[in-house]
Amino acid sequence: MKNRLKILRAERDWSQGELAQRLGVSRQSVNAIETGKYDPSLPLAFRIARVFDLSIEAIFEDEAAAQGG
Amino acid sequence: MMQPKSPALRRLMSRFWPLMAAYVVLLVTVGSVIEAPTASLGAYLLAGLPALPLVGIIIFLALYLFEETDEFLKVRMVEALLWGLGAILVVSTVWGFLEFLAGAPRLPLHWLFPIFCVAMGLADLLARWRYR
Repeated sequence: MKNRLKILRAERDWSQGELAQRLGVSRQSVNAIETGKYDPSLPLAFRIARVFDLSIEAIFEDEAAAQGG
Repeated sequence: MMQPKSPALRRLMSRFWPLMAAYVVLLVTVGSVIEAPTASLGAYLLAGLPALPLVGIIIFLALYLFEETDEFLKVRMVEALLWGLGAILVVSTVWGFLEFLAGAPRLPLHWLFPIFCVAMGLADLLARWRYR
């Protein structure tokens, strides 16, 4: 799933490790989510949204909706 | 670069290595005690001893899935376990037919656990490459 995690992280000058620490997950998790290779569960997506003080939709792209599905 | 392990993964490793060491010690000890296979109850009990640490490892692998709080690492472990289980199913099924229909030499069942471990290790390498 496409997302804006890398941009949002760069805006705050956070490393993957720093974000991982804030989320309580491993750096590998942040990397896998950021590169779109792993889609987080809903609870983790909410946690990510809280950390950035944004809505889930502002971070993750609903590709099916974008394609009109 | 070595990546820091999750607390659950560190716990699994701290449980895995002592059990692996116990397996090697028991295998060597029991192997030297039983000189020739006999079908007695005592021999059965003694011969089953090296399997106990391996059963422990399987139990701790299952426990890890409950203890791991990082959902991505949990998914990676589930994928590795499925590769391991798939490998032993494929090897035992294919070799079973080779034994039954083509008279291939018997595959000792105690090789299944090492095959499981090797497949899990390869799956872990594959996951590191896939999620890099």
